[in-house]
Amino acid sequence: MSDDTVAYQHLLSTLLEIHAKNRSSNDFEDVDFVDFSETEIQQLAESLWANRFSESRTDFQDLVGKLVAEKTVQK
Amino acid sequence: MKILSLKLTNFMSYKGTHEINFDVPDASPVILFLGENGHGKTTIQHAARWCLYGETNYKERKIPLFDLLNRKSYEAAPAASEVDMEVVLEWEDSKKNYELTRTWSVKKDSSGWVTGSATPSLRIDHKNPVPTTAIPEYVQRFLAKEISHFFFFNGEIQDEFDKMTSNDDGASFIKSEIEKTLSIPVITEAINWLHGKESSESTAIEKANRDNAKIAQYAFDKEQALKEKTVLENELKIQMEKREKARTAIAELNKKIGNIEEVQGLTASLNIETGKIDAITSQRREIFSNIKDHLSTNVWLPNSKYLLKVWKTAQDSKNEYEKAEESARSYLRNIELLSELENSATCPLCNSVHDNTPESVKNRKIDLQKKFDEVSGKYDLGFQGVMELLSLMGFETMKVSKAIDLQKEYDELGARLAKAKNAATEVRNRLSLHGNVDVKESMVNMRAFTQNEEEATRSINSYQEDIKKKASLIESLESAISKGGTVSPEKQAAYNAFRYLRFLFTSGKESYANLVRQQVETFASESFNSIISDKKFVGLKINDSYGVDLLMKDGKIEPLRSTGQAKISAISLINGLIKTAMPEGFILMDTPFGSLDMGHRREVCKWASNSGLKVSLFMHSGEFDRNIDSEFFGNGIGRIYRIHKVDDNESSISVEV
Repeated sequence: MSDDTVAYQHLLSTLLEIHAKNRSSNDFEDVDFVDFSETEIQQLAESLWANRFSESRTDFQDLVGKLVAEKTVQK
Repeated sequence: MKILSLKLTNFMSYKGTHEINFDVPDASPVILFLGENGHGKTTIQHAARWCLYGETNYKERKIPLFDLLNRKSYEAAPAASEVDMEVVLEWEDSKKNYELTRTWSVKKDSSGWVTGSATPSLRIDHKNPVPTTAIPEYVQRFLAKEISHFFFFNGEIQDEFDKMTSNDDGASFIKSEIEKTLSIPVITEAINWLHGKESSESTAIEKANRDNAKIAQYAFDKEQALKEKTVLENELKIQMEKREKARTAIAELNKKIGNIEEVQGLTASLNIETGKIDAITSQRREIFSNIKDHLSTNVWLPNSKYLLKVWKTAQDSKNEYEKAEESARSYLRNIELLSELENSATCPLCNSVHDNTPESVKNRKIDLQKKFDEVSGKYDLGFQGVMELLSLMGFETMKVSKAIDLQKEYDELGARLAKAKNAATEVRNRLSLHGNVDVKESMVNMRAFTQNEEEATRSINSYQEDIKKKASLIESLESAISKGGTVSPEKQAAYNAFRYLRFLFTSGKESYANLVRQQVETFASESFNSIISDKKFVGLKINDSYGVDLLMKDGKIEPLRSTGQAKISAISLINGLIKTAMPEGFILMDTPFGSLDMGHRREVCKWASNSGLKVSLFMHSGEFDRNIDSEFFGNGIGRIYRIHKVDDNESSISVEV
C-alpha cells in the first residue's frame, strides 16, 4: 500500500472493526446477509483510497461490482 | 512524497532558466527562501501551481497566462520568433520519480500578439512521457488541487489563517477543505454511489415485487378463466350433445316424414277407394231395391237369376218361334209365288219369261211347304207355351226386362266394388308396412327438434365465442406470467450486498471522521504545544466543523484571541492534517513569521526543523537573522536560497553556501 497514511489506517481499522461486529451479530442473518471477508473489505478500502484524488472512482466501483457479482453468483 | 526540484524558464520575473533543488536530507528538512518583497519569492509557489494545474491565482483571481510570461524575454525576442515559458517540477512518490513539464511556446508575430497554448508532459522514472490525458490523474495523486493551498500556504494573507481557525461562517469552507484532505468526500461519494446501486436494485426488486403481485393476480385470473373456460366447455359439450340429439331426431323424423308423405298418399287413395266402395254399395243397394220392386213379391229374389235364365230361354224360344213364323211366312209367300209362277208364263216379280220347269217349281214348292209346315207348327205351339209359362211364373215381361237391366247394372257395380275393395286392400297392405305413423305428432316433434337444434347451435356459437375469448385471455395472462417478475436470488443478493456495504461505509465514515479529527487534533496539539510559549494551553480543540479553540489545562476551552495564536494554530492544524493524511509531507509557507513575536518565531523555526515535513519557508530577508535564527533552526536548515531583483522584470535566485 503506497498510501500508508494514518488516515488510511484509521479508515481501514474502522471498517474492519465495524465489519467484525456485524459478522458476529445476528442483525444481518435475517435478511440473507451477504458476507464479505476481511481481505475483501481491505481491498475495498484500498481501492477507495487509491481513487481519493481522482475524478472518477472506477477502482472502487469496479471492485465493488466484481465482488458483488461474485457474491451473487455464489448465491 | 516530496518535491525534488523546480525549474523555471521565463516564468514571471525569472528570465531564462533557474533551478531550485528541494531535495534536502531528512535531518535538515528546512529550505529557506530569502528575499525582499516583490523580488520573486511567491513566484516560486506560482510556478509550482502553474506547472501542476495549468493555472495559479493571486487570492481569488486567476492570473492570465500572458502575465506569467517573463516580460523581458518576450520583449527581447525578435518579431516572428518563439519564446518558451516552461516550468519543470520533479517529485518523488512511492519511490518513483515524476517529472512534470509545462511549456508555453509563445509565438511573437509582427503585431506583437502571441498565440499557442501551454501543454504538459509527464515522465515517470525518466521514461517516455505518459499520455497527456493521464497527467491530471497523476497530478491529483501527488497533490490534489483542492487541498493544495494547505501545502502552498501564504501567510501574507491573513484571511487564510482566519479561515483555517474560524468558528464562524468561514468554518464551513475550511471544514470542506480539511475533509477533502482527509478523503471524507471520497467516502461520501462511495456511499452515495453504493446507495444509488442499492436504490437501483431496490427499485428493481420493488418493481419485481409489484410485478409479482401483478403476476399473482394474473395467475388468479388465469385460474378463474380456466375454471370459467371449463364450465363453458362443459356447457358447450352439453349443447353439442343436445344439438346432436336434436339432429339425430330430426334425421329420423325426416326419414319418417318421407314415409308420411307416402302414407298420406296411400291414406288419400284408401279414402278414395273407400268412398268408391261406399258409393257403389249404396248404388247397388238402391238397384237391388229396384230389382225387388220390379220382380214379383212372390218370387224369391235369390231365384230371380234362375228365373231370368228361364225367361231368357223362353225369350230365345219366342224369338226362334217368331223367326220360324217369319220363315214360315216367307215359305208361304214363296209358295204362293211359286204357285203363281206355276200358273203364269212370266215371272211375277220381273215379268221375264223363265224356262223353269214346272216340275222343279213344284218340287221347290213342296219342299217349302214341308218346311212351312214344320216351322208353322213349332211356332204355334212353342210360342204359346213359353208365354204361358212366363205368365205362370208371375213375371211381367217389362218388369223383368227392367230388372234384368238393373241386375246387369248391379253386377257391374259389384265388379267395380270388388275392384275398389281390392284397391283398398292393397293400400291397406302398403300402409301396414309403415307401421303406426302419427303425422301430426311427428310434425309437432319436428318443430320442437328444429327449435332445439337452433337453440343449441346459437348456444354453441355463443359458448365457442366465449371459450375463444377465455382462451385468448388465458394466453395473454400466460404470456404476462411467463415474462417473470420474480425477484431473482441474484438481484436480492446484489441488493443485500450493496445495502450492507453502504451501511458499512456509512457507519465507517462517521467513525472515521471522528477518529481522524481527533488524530488531526492530536498532531496539531503536539505542534501547537511545541510552538506556543504560553504553557497554560495544553493543546488545540478542534470541533466538528474544524473550528479551532484553545484547550486549557483545566480542560476549559478558550477561543483564539490573537493573530499570533491564529497563525500558530493554523500552522499546527496544517501540520496535523499533513501528518494524518500524507505519508510524507511538505509545505511551502510564505511569510510564516508575520504577526509572531520573537519567542514564537523561534518555536516555529524549531517546529519546522522537527515537524517531520520538508518545510520551505519564504521569508523576507529582514525576517532572517542568521545568528539568531540559525540557533532556532539548529541543524534543520538544509539549504538557503537568496532571491534578488535584477530589475522590475527580472529576478535571480542563488544558493547561499
